[in-house]
Amino acid sequence: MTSKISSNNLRGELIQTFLWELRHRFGLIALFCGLHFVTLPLVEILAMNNAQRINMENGYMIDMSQRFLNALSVVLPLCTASLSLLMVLILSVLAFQYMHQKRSVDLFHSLPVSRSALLGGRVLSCLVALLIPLVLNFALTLVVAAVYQVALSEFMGFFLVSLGWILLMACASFFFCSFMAVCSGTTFDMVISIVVVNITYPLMILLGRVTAGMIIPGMNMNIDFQSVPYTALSPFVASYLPLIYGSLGEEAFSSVPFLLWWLILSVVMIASALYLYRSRKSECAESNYAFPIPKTLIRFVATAAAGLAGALVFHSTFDSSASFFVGLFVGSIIAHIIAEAVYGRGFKGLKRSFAYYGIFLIAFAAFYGICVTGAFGYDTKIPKAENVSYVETRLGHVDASYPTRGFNIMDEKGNRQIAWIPQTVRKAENVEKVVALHTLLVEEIRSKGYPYRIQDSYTDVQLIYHMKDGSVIKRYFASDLISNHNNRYEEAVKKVADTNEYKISGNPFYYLPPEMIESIQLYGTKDDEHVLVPDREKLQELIDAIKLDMQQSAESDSYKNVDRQIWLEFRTRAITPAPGSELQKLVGNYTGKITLSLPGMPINDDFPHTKALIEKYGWTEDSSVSPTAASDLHAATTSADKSAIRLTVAN
Amino acid sequence: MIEVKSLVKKFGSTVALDGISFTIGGGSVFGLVGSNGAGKSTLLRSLAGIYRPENGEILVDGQAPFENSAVKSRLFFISDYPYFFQQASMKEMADFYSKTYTSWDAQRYQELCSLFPLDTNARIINMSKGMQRQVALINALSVRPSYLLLDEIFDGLDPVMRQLLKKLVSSEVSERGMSAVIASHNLRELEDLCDHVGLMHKGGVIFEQELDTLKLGIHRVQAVFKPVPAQDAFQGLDIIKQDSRGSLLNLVIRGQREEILEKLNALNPVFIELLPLTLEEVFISEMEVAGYDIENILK
Repeated sequence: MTSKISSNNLRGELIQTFLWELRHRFGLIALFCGLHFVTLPLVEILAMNNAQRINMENGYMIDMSQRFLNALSVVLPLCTASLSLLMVLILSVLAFQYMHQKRSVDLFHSLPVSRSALLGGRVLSCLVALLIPLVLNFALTLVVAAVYQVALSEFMGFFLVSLGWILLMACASFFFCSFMAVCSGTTFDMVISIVVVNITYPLMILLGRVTAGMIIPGMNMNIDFQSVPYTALSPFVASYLPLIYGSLGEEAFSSVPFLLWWLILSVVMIASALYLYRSRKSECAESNYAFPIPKTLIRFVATAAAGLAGALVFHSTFDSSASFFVGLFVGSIIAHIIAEAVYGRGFKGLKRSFAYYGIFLIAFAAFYGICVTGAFGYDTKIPKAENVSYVETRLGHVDASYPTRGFNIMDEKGNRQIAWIPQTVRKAENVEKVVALHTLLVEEIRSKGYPYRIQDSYTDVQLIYHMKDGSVIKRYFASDLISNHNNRYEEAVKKVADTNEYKISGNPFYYLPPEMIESIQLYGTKDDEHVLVPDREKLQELIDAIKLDMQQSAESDSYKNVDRQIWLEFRTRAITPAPGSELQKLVGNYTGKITLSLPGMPINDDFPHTKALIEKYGWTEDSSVSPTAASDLHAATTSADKSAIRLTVAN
Repeated sequence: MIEVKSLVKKFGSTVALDGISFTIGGGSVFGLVGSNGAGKSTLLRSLAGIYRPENGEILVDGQAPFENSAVKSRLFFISDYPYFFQQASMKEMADFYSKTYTSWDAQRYQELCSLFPLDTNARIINMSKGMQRQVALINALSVRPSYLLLDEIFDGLDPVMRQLLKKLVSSEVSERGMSAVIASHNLRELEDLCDHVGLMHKGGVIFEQELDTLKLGIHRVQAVFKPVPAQDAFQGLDIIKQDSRGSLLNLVIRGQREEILEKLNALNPVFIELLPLTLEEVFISEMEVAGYDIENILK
C-alpha cells in the first residue's frame, strides 16, 4: 500500500515537474524549430530550386534525387547534428543550473517533490524540446522531397537512419550532460567537463593507439573511428561519425557494437544521474564538484591526451626517443596545471594535485612498458598455417606499380561501395609462404632491437589472417625497417608475390567483362594521346593480353622498365553482372548495376603481349579520336549508336 | 511536533551541527538565536529536508523530512536569500507554488496580496530586498504550512511590515496551530513573537527554553553593599556576570527572583534592585558563559 502511494506520488510529481518545465520551454522549442528549418528543409528547398534553375537555363537534367541526397549528406552532419548538440548544451545549462546555486537549491530541495521527479521531469521536458523540432523538420524535409518529386527510395534509408541516429545521440549527449551536471558543483564546471571530456577522450585513445602502433611491431595503425573505444566517452564526437561515414557513401551504420554501446551507455548515464542525484549533497552547490570521479577522470584524460600529443609532436620534430619523453612531460605537465587551475580556481591545491599527476605517470609507464615488450606476445603471435582459411595480403613496395592491390566494386553511380575485393592467398602452400614471411618479419624486427622503441615508419605490408574458426588476426609492418639489402626478406616476399593466387586475386582485370569498358585513353611514348573505342572482341583480346602479361611477369621486378612506356586509362560503364560470372559471385546478393574503378596501366617491357596487341591494331597511330573529343565520346556512348562510333574510331 | 535527536551535520571537516537535540511542540513559535556561524541556517535547512544529516535524526510528526515529499508538503522554508525564477512575477511564482503544494489556498493568497503593497505583475527581481521577502512570505502563508521555517525574515523589512509579519504568524499559530521556527539576530522582534527560544553556539544548543521561563529565570541585580562582602559570601548564587564600581555591584544571576532576593538580603545590602533582562541581554550573558569573548570583540 505504502509503495503504491509512493509510486503514485512520484508519478504525480514527475508529471507536474515535466509539465511545468515544458511550459517554460515553449519559446526554446519554437526557436529550435526555426533553426532546424533553416538548416534542413530550407537548405533542401534552395538546393532544389537551384537545380531546377540550372536545368532550365542550361537545358540539361541534373538528377534532382542526387542533388537532394548530396545536400542531405552535407547538411545532416554539418548543420543538423551540430545544431542538436548545441541545443543539448543550452538545454543542459538551463535545466540543471538550479542545482549549482545555493539559493535555488534551497528552494527546489525544500519543495514537496522528490529529487528523482525534479531531475526526471526536467530531463523529459528537455528531451521533448530537443526531439520535437528534429522530428518536425525531418517530416518537413520529406514534404519538400515530395513537392520536388524526389525519388524517396534514393534517400529514404539514409534519411531515416540519420534521423534515428541524431535522435539517439541527442538523447545520449543530453544524458551525458545530465550526469556531468549532477557530478559538478557549478554550471561552469559542468560545461568545462562536458567540453573537455568530449575533446580529450577521443584524442587520448587516438594518440595512444598511434603511439602503440609506432612501438609494437605488427600493430594496426589504421584508425576505425566506428570502433567503440575511440569515442566511448565522447557522445558529441560520436554523434558525427556515422553521419560522416554515411555522407561519404560508406556503410554508415553497420557497426552494431557502436550502436549498442550508445544505447546501453545512454541508459547507464541517465540511471547513474538519477541515482547519484538522490544522494547529492545540497551543500555542493557552488563548490568545485559534488562527486569527484569525473574531475579525476577528466584531469587524467586531459593530461594523457596533451602528454601524448606533446610526445608525438616532439618525436616527429626531433626523431629520438628522448624527445618523445621530453614532449610527454611538457604536454602532460602543462595540461595538468591548467586542469588544476580551472577546477581548483587557482593554484592553491597544485602541490597536492601532483599525486594525481603521479597516477598518470604510473599509468603511462605501464602502457609504455607493455608496448615496448610486445604487448604480452602480440608482436610474436603468428598463426599456424593449417588454421588459416585465407590471408588478405599486401606486400608493400613490390606491388606499387601494379593494379593488384585489391579493388572496389561500386554501385551504378559510383557513390556506394558494394564490395571490396582484396588480394587473398588461400592455397595451403601459399598460406605457408605468407606465414614464413610473417615469421621472418617478426624475427628480423626483434633482432634489430628489443625492447622495442618508438619509430616513425609507414606500414605497407599487410597480413590479415581469416582463421578457420572465424576469428581475424591483423598485422601491419613497415618493410622499410628491414628490407634494405636484406636478401632473406626479399626472397620471402618474392615467394608470395610470384604466386598466381596473389597476382590474380584483387586484380580487377581477372573479373572484367569487355562490355564494361566504355573507352580507353592511350598515352603513347611520344607524348601522343589517343581515345579508343574498340569492339567487344578486341577488348577481350586486350584484357586477355594484360592478364597473360601480369601472370608471366615477376611482380618484384615491376620497377625495372619504366622508361618509354605506354599508359592506358580505362573509362568504364555500369553493367549488371552476368548470372554465374566471377563478377556476380563477388557482389553476392546485390542485383543492381555496378561499376569498377580501373587503375591506369603502365605498359612497359613486362607487357609484351599487350604491347604487341597495341601495335597490331595500330592504336598508337593517328586514326584514333583526338583527346578533346573524349568527353563528347563519353556522352555519345551513353546514348548514341555504339557500332557507328566503333566504325569511326577503331581499326 | 519537530524532534531533533543528536543531530550532526558536517561540511567537509567543519562540524556545523554537533549532536544537538531539542523538541519544538505544535502551535509554537520557536526562535533560534546564536552567534554567526552557530549553525542556525544549517539547522533550518536540515529541518526543511534540504540537508541530509550525517548522524542523528530529525522527525517532523514522526517522519524524517529528507527526500520525503509527504513531510515537505507540510513545511515551508524561506531562506535568508529567497530564490525566485528569473524574470518571474508574483503571479508566476504563485502559479508555481499552487501547482507544487496541494494545500495552496488561492483565497488566502488574494487576501495576503491585498495586505501587502505589492504589484503582482511586477518582476520580482526588480523589487527591493524587503519586498522580495514579502513576496516569499505571501507564498509561504498561502501554502498553509503546518511548519514555517524562516531564516532572517526580518532583514530588510520596515517596522510596519515587521509588525504585519508578526501579526500574520501569530494568527496562523493561534488559528491553525501552525508552528514557526525563526532564526534571526533581531532579538527584539523575536522577543515579541516567540514563545520558545533556543540559543546556539558553535554547532551546539546552549539552551532551549520557554521564553517566559527564560526571562523569569535570569535577572540583573543592582546592589550597594557597605562593606562589599567577600566573594565567598555569594556562593550559592548562579552568577553569570559580575562587575563592581566601588560599593555598587552589577550582577546577572540565574535563578528565581525570590530565592535571589532572599540570599542577597541576607548580606544586608544598603540598596538592592532586580531588573528583568531583555532577550538581547540574556543572549549576551549566556554567550559570555559559553566562551564568546564579547569584551575583547567590542574593545
